Amino acid sequence: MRKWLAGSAVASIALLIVSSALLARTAEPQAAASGSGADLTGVWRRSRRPPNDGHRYTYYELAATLTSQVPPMTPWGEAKYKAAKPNIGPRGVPLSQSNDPLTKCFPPGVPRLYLVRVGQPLEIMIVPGRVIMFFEYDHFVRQIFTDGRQHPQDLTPSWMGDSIGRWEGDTLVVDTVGFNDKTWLDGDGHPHSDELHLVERIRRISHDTMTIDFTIEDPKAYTKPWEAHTVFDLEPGWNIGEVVCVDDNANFLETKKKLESPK
Amino acid sequence: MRGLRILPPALAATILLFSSVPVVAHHGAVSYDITKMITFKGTVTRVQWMNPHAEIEMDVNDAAGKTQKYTVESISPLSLTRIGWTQNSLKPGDQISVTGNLSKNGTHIIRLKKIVFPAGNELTIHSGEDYADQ
Repeated sequence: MRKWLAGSAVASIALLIVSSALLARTAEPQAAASGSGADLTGVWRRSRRPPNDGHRYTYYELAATLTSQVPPMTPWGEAKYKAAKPNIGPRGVPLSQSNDPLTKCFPPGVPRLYLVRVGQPLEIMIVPGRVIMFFEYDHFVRQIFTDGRQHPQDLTPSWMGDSIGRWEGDTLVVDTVGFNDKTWLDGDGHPHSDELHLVERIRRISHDTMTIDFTIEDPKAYTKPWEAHTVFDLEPGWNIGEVVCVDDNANFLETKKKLESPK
Repeated sequence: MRGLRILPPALAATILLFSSVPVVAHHGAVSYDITKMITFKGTVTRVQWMNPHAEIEMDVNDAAGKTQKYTVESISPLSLTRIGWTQNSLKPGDQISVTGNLSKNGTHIIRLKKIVFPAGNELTIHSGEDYADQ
């Protein structure tokens, strides 16, 4: 009798261990407290749901601007903003008249890469010492170095800047400097200078949702740092496809001419 | 397999007007009249499965019974396949209904919002799909 009881006790404990292990595997992903970054892995697309701050954004505000509350620009910034002729939104002009660098297939830079072609995703991949962001739009790649390095001393200004990242609990904090001043911050033509210092706080808040909170600091263009918040949906089953801006422009030329011809 | 069909002589364009609020909700659409939606029924004559916009050319009979040619601009093939529309979904001769914004300058180009396929199934392009000029 005792042997039988002991045997069944062992069996019960074994069963408990196995079932709790199974439960752990099928549970929601835990916060990456160790900083492994595995949680950010996936293909993500900009969410079309309005941010939950009481103001229902239009599509334009979601796709073409970072926030509806841009702080006052410096005189330098204002001059640049006035000179910008976007193709979209309330200040939009026909494609041929726009001086948006994107219309000539120049790189969008960061953070605009997150806004370009809202329907198109990015993929986040984690490799040792780096977080790689692979964008469908023109196959742009960001590498965020997480190996503890600092920004190099003499950075040559670049379109995408120099990005380093560190984990704060389950949040990847990305620090980027070293931008050139050839890109727009958004589709509306808000400017930035080569003094732009961009901080991103990237966090997977649920299995299907990732948020990026931006802090934009650029004393040459803006009188104080300002914030923006973006939301991304997981697109399981999607793979990054091919988008080639110069090819798109060439293919669209005939239709563009027709659209812009006088009545 | 679908072949060419002969149009019923009485087929006429159907125009439906919706109010579109707010106007700034649409993007990149400087050359289109974004204040209203228009719907046409007609016959596919050509499908151009290309970037950045897949284009469908269609014949539409106007109120006088005269054939008008229209070009329907859709989103990219990559985005279309993600919402269930493949390069074989439409063929010349197919009867479709399209709803969208019409070009302002009389060039008969429609930026697609919604299509009804020959079998009756519908597809709507939601805000946030990648019309290439953002």
